[in-house]
Amino acid sequence: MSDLNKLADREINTDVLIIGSEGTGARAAIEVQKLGLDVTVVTKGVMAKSGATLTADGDIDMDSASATRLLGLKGDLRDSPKIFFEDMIRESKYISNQELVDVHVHEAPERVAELVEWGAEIDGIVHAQGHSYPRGVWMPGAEVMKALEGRMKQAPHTLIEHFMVVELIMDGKRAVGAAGVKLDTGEFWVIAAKAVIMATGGGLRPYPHTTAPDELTGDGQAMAYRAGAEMIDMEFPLFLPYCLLSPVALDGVDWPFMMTCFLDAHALNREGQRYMSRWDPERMEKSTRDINSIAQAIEALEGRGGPKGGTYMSLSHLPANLVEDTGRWFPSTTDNWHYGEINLKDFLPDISQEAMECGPASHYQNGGIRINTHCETNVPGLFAGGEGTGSLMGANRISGNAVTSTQVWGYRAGIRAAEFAKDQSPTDLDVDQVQAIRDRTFAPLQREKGLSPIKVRKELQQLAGEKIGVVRDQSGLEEALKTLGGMTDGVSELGTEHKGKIYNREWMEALQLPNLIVYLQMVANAALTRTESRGAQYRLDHTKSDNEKWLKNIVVTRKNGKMDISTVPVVIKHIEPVEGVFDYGHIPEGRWIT
Amino acid sequence: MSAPTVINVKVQRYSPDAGAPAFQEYEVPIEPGMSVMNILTYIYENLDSSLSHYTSCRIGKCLGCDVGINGETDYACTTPVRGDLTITPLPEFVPVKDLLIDRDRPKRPAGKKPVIA
Repeated sequence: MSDLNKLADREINTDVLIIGSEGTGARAAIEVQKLGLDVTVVTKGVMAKSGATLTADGDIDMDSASATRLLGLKGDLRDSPKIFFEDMIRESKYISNQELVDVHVHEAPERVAELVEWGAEIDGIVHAQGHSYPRGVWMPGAEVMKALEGRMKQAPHTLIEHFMVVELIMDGKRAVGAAGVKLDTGEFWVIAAKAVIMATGGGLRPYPHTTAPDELTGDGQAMAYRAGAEMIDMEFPLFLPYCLLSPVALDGVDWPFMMTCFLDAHALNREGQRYMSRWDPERMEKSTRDINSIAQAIEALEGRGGPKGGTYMSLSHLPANLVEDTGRWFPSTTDNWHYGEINLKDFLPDISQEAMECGPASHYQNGGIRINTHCETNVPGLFAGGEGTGSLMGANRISGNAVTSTQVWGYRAGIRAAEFAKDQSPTDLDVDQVQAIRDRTFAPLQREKGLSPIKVRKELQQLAGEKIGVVRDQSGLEEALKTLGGMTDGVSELGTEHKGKIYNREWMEALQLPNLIVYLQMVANAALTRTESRGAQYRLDHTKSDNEKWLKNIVVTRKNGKMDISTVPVVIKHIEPVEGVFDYGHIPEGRWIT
Repeated sequence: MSAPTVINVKVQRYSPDAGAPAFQEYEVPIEPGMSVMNILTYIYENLDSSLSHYTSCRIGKCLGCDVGINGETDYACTTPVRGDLTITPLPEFVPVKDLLIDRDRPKRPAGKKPVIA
């Protein structure tokens, strides 16, 4: 048996290891620092230059009355955490964990106000769909990260960038560290930790079109699953409608969706019909995001889509100068026709004349690692928060709540992980386990003629888009699971063409693929089990929302090396859902019980 | 005049184990509406998987893909392709591999001693 120091190019010991450096990870780190423990934050990318938080358009939710009182914004004093709670439960389609939601709505104001105190600039408050009052404090992701990075870097910490964790290291059932690759040197590093926080965000990259950054490959969920963690609500990846499918530079850009919020934009099928009249004749394109996505997917599926498989977004019925002036009225997103740093006019055709082809893009994962109100998982030593976790958003997240969740739950994860770590003594890492992770890590570089990770990833994305996407059915999901099973076997055949170790992106892809595959297996299995439609899950073969059979959450766990599917009752605290079977999108309001 | 369908792309390649940086040329087919990031992705996926560059959001938000493009510093994902390209790493940082640089290690101005040894 070899020693650990022969296996690892570097060995690090820390109190709390945080995997992920952005909204959730950085917020957690700040709490660990406050409690005086040693914290190590690792990220696959570069802090404040990667991750999902930065891509947030701008709204971070808190109840409107608190926004008025604490931040001096023109909110609405009639709002309260209670009404925010009610909105979240209704929009979750009644399957959120109400204990989590209760904490969320009550702690959101303090967490958002802290960001402002730490230097994040705000620019008004917006009223997004699904909310009874204006709750979206306008604070783009870059502002959130400016505040968090500044704060975190004031106190002692170790930040390791370009580090991909390949696997958690376990001591029996307890998480005691992680091993992975320092991508910019190709070295294999091992980190021993008394507590580990998973803050890796969602797994949105398996889909062919996405609003998410490249690194969101479900690593955290896949590793937690392999470590024995319960995964909940995995069947609910949220798709954002009206994201550009063309031109290629803007693939996944959600600007046309923004236009549906600001303008009377028309979504057309290939026959030039405003198909939303069949889905939501009153609100049309201003219907909720899930319904718009499903309508878009079904138009394409039934042969009425555009050449890229989307539908058309037209502004040509509006005067050209009105369209041109749009950028002046909504400066936060389209200032001078810039979206982020992109000058849209460099890429788009004349949109006062031509329609844009757009479709649903993967945007958020409502499901993930199952946690309690203290961000504990069922795996001792493993904590989680933010998008990587499940059951806070239920079947559907409302706009602006993603960034709030990074703050409320990053904060809580940091505190509890630090409290846990205080009581632990250092553990010797299991050398055999580290050896096995190391072997698996370097295998794609050593295999002479292997399957191309790039090719397999593309096949996977096509499969996810076609069979595990916005709309699903039994035969498609079963077919997908069969194909994914074959791909799992193929993982042991992956081999990079280029064998260099320094920032070899193909190698990184080879290490991500097992995570993408297991992530999609969880989504597909849960989607197959839930024989109804609700929120972000739409089954073509079960189109009703069934409150008789499906007011429950699906839990995916690894048992004896196999994927086990079970259900648990929804955690009810204040609002009881109504029994019955309802048309999709028409679940009646529940009633307050306490 | 119609746009060319194939462009010539010169990328500065570097690996610490392979000596001084050198340019490598690629012929890349283009379509309307491409960014420099799309070109780098095309090369990586279809021509040369050993090419290293940083990418995250691809949509002008993470600001991590700044490189030299025909002599000017700009983001790969926001710069439209208008013809042949020469792509270099940011000159002010120590290179790691190809277009990837170490943002924590700015290059020292020539002739100056480091402030911290």
